[in-house]
Amino acid sequence: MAELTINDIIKEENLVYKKTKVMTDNVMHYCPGCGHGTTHRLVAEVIEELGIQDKTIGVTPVGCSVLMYNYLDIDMQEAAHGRAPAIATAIKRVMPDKFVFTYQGDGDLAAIGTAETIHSCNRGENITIIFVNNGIYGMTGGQMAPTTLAGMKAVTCPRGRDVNTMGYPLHITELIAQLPNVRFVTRQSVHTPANVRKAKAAIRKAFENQKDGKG
Amino acid sequence: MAKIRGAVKVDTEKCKGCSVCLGACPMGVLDLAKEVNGKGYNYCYMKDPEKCIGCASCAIVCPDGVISVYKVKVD
Repeated sequence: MAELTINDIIKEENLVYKKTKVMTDNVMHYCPGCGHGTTHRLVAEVIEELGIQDKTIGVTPVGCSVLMYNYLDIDMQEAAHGRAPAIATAIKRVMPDKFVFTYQGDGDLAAIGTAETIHSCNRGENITIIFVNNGIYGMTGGQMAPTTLAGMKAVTCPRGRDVNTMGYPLHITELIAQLPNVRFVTRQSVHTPANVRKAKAAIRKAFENQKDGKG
Repeated sequence: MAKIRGAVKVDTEKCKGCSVCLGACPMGVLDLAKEVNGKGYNYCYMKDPEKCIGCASCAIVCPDGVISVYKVKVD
């Protein structure tokens, strides 16, 4: 049999994976290798699989992912720093049939917006919060954040976080998991293919919980 | 025995050369090119196209979604 060339394989009928249509063709502004791109794509793939592109409203935070509305072809709303869960609560209560999610980094969700996060979870709002934690204030130059791990080095703690003077890292995921009104909390990573698949399953489950009205 | 042959297509102008896909590929097919694209990044390409099995691991970890994967069964 004649040897297959690459051009024989690259045909529309042999396609197994390509970028989802819910994402736009804009080039992302993130640094090379940043997990935001992967997470954006996972959200977009879940939205496409559930067929809710015209029923989804996203709330973007302040931080690197503030420009998320450039990359996802859905309705988006920009919130004040840390207040995305409050905006999402309002949107969901006004339009209960829409799927509402917030997409927040740790500086937004676990630092300035801790109160909004905890109270919206405590009220059991029927929204999905996607929390992207890198343990550092990456956008402003790598300063120590409340979520920075003990011993982790940052620009403002070059010898590593000392828990005696700087306190312990805020594990907001574990904190929220204690609340009785919270339906589904999980911690995932996107650095290997297996973990990306797990993270996608988690995002999908979160959206399905919202569909069932379980929060 | 049926054999799976795969191929990836990389949007070289959008690739940022982060090499996440290199570590994700179980067969060691991908590598960064010596040449750079319009943004000055060494984009990724198939160094060893014979080995590709079309598992799409590279595509699902690609942060910029520049990789499309194709797969065909060869008798």
